[in-house]
Amino acid sequence: MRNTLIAIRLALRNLRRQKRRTALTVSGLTMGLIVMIVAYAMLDGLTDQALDSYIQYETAHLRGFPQGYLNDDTFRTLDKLFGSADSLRDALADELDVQTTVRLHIPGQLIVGTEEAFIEIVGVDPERDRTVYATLDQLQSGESLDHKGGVLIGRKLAKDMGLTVGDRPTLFARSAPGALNSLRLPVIGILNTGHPAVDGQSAYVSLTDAQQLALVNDSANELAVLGGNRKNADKLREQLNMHGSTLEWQTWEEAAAGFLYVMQFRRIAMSVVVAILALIAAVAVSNTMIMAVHERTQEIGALRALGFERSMIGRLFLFEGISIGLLAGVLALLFGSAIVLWLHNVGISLEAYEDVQSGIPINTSFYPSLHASNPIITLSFGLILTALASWTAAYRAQRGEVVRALREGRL
Amino acid sequence: MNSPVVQVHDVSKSYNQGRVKALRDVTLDIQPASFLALAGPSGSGKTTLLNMIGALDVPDQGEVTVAGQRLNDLSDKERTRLRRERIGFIFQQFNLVPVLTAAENVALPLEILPHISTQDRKKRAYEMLRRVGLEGMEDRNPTQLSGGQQQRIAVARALVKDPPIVLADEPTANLDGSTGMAIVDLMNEMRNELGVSFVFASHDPRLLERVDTVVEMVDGCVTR
Repeated sequence: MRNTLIAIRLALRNLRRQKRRTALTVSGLTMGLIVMIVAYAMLDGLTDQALDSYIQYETAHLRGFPQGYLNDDTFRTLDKLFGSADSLRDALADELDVQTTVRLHIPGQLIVGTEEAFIEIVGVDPERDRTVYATLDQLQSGESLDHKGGVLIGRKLAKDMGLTVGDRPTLFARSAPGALNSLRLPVIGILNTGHPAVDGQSAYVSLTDAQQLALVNDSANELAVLGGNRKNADKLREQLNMHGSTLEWQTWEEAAAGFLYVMQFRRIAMSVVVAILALIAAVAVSNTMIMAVHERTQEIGALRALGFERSMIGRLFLFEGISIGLLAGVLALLFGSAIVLWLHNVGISLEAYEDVQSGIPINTSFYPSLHASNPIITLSFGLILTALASWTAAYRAQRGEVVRALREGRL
Repeated sequence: MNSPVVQVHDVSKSYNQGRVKALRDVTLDIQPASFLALAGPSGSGKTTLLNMIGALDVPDQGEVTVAGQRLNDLSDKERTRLRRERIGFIFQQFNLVPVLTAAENVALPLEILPHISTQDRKKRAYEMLRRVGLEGMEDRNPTQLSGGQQQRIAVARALVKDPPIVLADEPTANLDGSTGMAIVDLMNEMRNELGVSFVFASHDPRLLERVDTVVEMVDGCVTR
């Protein structure tokens, strides 16, 4: 322990020998680690924001559907409905202390003159829907849906169809019995949620209007549940199943599985970039440490003659390299966190990419987020990287023969 | 008479797969408080012999005993320990650690010895610097000092752990004449004060004039 402390003290002092070289190595490594902190914060922010968006506008914490609904690829969603929707919703809300609402999803078309778009018509109970979803209040213009008749459409759909508040498009759908049916409602508001499906492919009407369009009575095909914490969605499902529910339940995580998979792939791709950066940084640190060993060969010999153990000589260079990693890590944490904090406050505008179909449900700006794991991983990464990069130099320093080091100045 | 602090018996050493014979059947005893020089031209084997005595190298044949320990029986670790505890070194290039102060350089050998408190280390280092005439320069870095002053620090560093023997390889080679002799005189004083043996490898005639014993070496053999 004592020898380790001596080695650490000497290593820290040795950093001052070649100040410019140390500064350059630390700067390079700091830059790399800052890139790592900011890049992962952007990825984390994107993921957080997207998941919030899914939960707020599409999946809630948990959704119940009629059996077979989720696996139905015929898009004949009105074949599968559950009745007594209101009473089922109220019973769950009362017994499990959760927020609930029901929705009726109808595949249909929005028709404006000769223009038509395939959309999903969503029937909602505005009052209850607001306790689970945030959709109805994300207005870009107009007013929100109340009990009076009208339709809310997304920003992108409105733009594509040339609709503004006050226009009266036709909602066209095949009803549950199979007959074609239509509703002509005024656009009372334009939604801007950032969620591509909501903004580009959905129209929201009151549940009553939707049931009238589908020719169903007191029926729905989605029961959405919002509990306390999104991480408890699985537990909530168990409770619901124990409660005797016959619905098929899907958690937010299952609903967003595709997105999570894509994000995981992006994280791997990012890690490859980070690994390349790490390799460059490792070469720089390794080079610095090997040069340090060469410059101090006689001194190494003298220290060995004075009675320093081989392992202590090795530790001297190992700690010197790790100190570079630690210094760079701390600087990167300070500057990286400051950059992330700033970006978190101002946001990164995606308006220029508005028309690009990214599939990520976020609004026109996104906000990097610094998770607690990010600084820990970055700092550990810096330390491990420099330890590995210094290992060769440390090994070379401790392996050398003292007589040759003193006499010939080589190890 | 005390037993010799160093006993070299019939030692031979060769390098480059036996092509270069550095030492040939060397036998030598060094008494406590000696002031002895190994003299001879370059390549005569004086530094090799010094390295054998300093437990830095091992003989191909023969025996070396230092401070009662037979080096032939010691592992690399044990030889390191012997150097740490019982042998002081002074080098031609001084080999001070430039990022440490004069006092820290002197205290360095004590840092790796067990059971010496920080306060004691500091006290002993300051005392040794005073003895070698560097009082008031404890906090200076070696780079701020002259060659002679740096070699004085090296002498203090070699003596601070109270070794029975100090080995000095060409200690005056990097110093001007008067400074070099002042260093030799200083070491002689230390020998008299502390009873430590000094063994030099040198071909500096002024140094050779000042030592008690000169061991002449030619082609790896002791000739006188």
